[in-house]
Amino acid sequence: MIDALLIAPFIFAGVASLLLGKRSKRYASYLSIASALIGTLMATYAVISENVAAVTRYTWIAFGGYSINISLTDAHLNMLLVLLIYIIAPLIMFYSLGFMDKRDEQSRFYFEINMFAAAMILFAISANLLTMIVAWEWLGITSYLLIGFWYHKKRAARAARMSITIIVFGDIAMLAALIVLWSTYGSTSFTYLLSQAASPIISVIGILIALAIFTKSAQFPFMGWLAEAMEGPTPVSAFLHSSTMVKAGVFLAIVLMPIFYETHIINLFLLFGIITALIGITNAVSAKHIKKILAYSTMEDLGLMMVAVGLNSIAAAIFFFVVQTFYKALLFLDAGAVMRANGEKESIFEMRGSRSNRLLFATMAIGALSIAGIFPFSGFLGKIGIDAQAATNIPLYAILIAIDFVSSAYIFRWLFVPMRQTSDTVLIGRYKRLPKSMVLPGVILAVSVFAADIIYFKLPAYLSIASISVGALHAVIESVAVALGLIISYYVYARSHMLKRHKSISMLLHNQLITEALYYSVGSVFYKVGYAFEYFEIYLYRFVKIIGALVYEAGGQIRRSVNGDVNLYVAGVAIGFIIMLLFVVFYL
Amino acid sequence: MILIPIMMLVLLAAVVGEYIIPERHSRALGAIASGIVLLLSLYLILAFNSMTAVQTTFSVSYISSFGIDLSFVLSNISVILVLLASIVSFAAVIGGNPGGERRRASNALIMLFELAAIGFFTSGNLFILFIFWDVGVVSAFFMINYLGSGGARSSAKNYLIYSIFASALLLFGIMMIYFYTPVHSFNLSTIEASGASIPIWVQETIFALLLIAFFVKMPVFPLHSWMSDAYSDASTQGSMVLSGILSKFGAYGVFILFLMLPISHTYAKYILIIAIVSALYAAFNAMVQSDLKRMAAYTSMIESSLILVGIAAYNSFGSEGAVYGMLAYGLAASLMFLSVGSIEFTFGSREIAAIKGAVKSASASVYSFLIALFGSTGVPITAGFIADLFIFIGSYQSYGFVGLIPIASLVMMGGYLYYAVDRSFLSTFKHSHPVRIEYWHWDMGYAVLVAAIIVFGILPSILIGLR
Repeated sequence: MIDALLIAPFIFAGVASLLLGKRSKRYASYLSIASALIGTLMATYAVISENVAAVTRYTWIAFGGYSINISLTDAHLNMLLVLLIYIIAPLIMFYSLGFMDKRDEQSRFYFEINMFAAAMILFAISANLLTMIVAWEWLGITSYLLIGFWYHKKRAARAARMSITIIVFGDIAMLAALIVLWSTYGSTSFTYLLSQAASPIISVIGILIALAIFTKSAQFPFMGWLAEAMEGPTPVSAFLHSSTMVKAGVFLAIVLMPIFYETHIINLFLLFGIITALIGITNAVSAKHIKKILAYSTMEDLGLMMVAVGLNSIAAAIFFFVVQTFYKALLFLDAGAVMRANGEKESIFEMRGSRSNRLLFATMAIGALSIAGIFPFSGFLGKIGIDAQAATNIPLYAILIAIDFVSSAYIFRWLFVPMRQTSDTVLIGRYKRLPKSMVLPGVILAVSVFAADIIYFKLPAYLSIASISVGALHAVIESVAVALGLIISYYVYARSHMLKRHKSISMLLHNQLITEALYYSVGSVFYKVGYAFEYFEIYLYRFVKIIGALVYEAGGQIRRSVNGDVNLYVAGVAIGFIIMLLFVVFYL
Repeated sequence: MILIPIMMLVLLAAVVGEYIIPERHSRALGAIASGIVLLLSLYLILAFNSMTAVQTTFSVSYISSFGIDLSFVLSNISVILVLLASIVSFAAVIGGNPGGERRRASNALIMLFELAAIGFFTSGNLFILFIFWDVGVVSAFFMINYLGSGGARSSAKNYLIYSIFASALLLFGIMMIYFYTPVHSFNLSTIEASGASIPIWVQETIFALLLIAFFVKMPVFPLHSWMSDAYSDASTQGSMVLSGILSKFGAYGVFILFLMLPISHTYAKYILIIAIVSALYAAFNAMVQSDLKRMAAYTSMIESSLILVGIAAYNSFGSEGAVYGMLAYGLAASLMFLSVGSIEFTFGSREIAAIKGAVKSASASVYSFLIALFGSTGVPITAGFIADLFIFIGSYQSYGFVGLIPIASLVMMGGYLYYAVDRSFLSTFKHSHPVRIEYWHWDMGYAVLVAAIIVFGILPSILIGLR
């Protein structure tokens, strides 16, 4: 029963915010924080109580002897995701207290973000594909509303449209998977699906679900929407990229990993994961937008998680899944604070003086050290887990180490460039006067980045999975690569302030434009076919008109023939008589 | 079932009443009459499962020498369609005529059309069914011709030619059924019982004739040329009932055709092919429209094709999905036309390029359009999801992966509709200026339709449990 209750706080806060409307003032945010905290308590209880995985079924539709069920589970893996969401959610809501300071936007914002979170919770506790698809499509719709929250910005509206177009594709693939699964087995339960042996039908279902996963988790070739989604408000970006939405795809991949393994679809995850990670790092190195660098870094993270799934290592995937949540939320929240202090500038090269607010800078540094994978920080665990799994495959291992090196380089670029000295006292003053609610969540997350190290010891037992043993050699290789990235970044961006940009190289690296051109060309093919069909439509219309005209013309001719010309009548009678005669002779 | 004639009498009284009362009370009268009908049809839904066979039938002898009775039978399909007709008509009356132009004629036509729809969906006699069909056709003709805008005269003419053609085929087919059934009957249940004894070639002929007639109404490729003009030139109320109810005349017709003639199921796969072609054809055409109302028109054509997919599946899931689809898509299409019509009234145009930034000044209409979009693409908790699910489970069970092809039209529908929303409502780069403001009674119309879409999306068991 507790699993159904877990959704309640978000639904309550969302509906209440909507009903408060324009009068909401700050009540909507206080309400959201309070209910999210209540949810945190419930989720903590659910994790600590270590209940046996029980599935609760509610019949949604009963039809002709069949029943279509909503079914919820409190298995440990699901509760882990719920807890992650409920750790991040109150912090996001608290951050929004300072960030969303425009009164007339509050009601809409809290309604949408609470509904989004509710959809994610429903996703996290769903035990069958039907429940999951309900949550899955609602994640898509609410993320559309959130990304396009500032729809008065042309780019925000465009980004929202881009994301929903890709996500609708995945939703429909998921629907097709659901239909095939249900029609074949009469059940959509995951436990039932996982108990099936590999068969062609299972492969088809697996491919369809993998497509849906790729759209939601922004894998190649569907990765284009992820960076564009940065047009949304910063709390949304932080939420979207840390514990929700993009993680939904990875989570589903982890849940259904045995199916993917048996049908060899797992190799697709490996391949597309690597491609996505490479696209992510090349873009991150060349991007200038402070949030987009982080978005490309998320793309890299998601790619690495898919690699872990592709290596059939559930432990590595989950380690990275958990640690990425904390440092990515932290970095996004800090990026929003830096942007706020710099007057909503977006390029890191136009920002300065992030060291003026010591607390903020400390949390930023901790986040960056963690994402790069420096030893005591939890990011190290995530990276080393995946590297260790790939160790038997030397080319793959080399690629992963290269990715570690580059990601370390770009994240310190992200840290060092806005750090540059400034003598602008107004700017320093703005840093100092940042709302407390925009800095404190970062502190809590920075502590969590350390605290997340315990997952290495606790998680395998909790989820009853095999732990990963990390060799010292891997740790050393990884640390050297990361340190190299840090040093290069330091000398290039912090010491020498080498800001001269090599345009040709950056164009090559920043291939987001190529992705968009690809989408555009796919879209334009569809539109060209559409125009061809429109031509056909017009000709069909003309054809119908011609038939009408012919009938009209025939009527006129017949009318003109009935004109009292006796010879014509006699001829008609004669021809009719002959036809009748022929009929009698041949037919009877 | 005495309630059906009562509903019709209420509506008839309202039609007459519209010409007696002063113009300012017109909307109130329409709202009361269609509100009563709505309440009665809700009662019918709730009480349907506890009714006996006697209670669902009403029959009075009319022309007894030909076996023509005024007979109304409430089946589990028709009760849902009556509900659809009453919801859409109620919303059309209270929200559909923002300018209040010619409101007496407009409301009277809606009432007349609703009467025809209720008669058509519940009729137990083919002759009566044909009469109501033609009443519906004629009242819809005036909604286009007299109340429409743009090239309304020409569109109405096209519509009428197609409809008369369809009516002639329908009448001819009904006559053939009458003469070839052993007992010479117009009675639907008698024909269903003795349909197998009609000779095969006669069944095939009747099937072809009636199918063409119903395809014109749905409309389905290639008999849809009247559709885009008629839907877009009709008044807002007119296009609401055209897309929401009149197109379901055709779908319901195909349904009873499958019930009457056993030969039908051998042709089901060809119908599936027509439905697939029609869905994709409409999707590609909708994509390139620059006029939002024409886009909505092609969207409703996709929905008709999906209903046809469900019927062609010819199994319990497909049929249930088709019936649910008639309700869900009917509600979504009429909501879409209502919001587009209101936006047109507010901005004086419905070209996508001319209603930029509509979300600022017509936010209720824009959000309603979005909900109609969700309903059409089948987002969960809207009724469209249940319809999609059942239709495609049915068609997959019957035809395998071929049956899943039309699902592609849903992706395309999402794609072009979201693109249209981005280019029109959200684009505030150079935003258009409204010429009028929103009125409160539009919101009532939206509220009715949105509530229906969401209630039937969350609680499908209200309708799916019906015997």
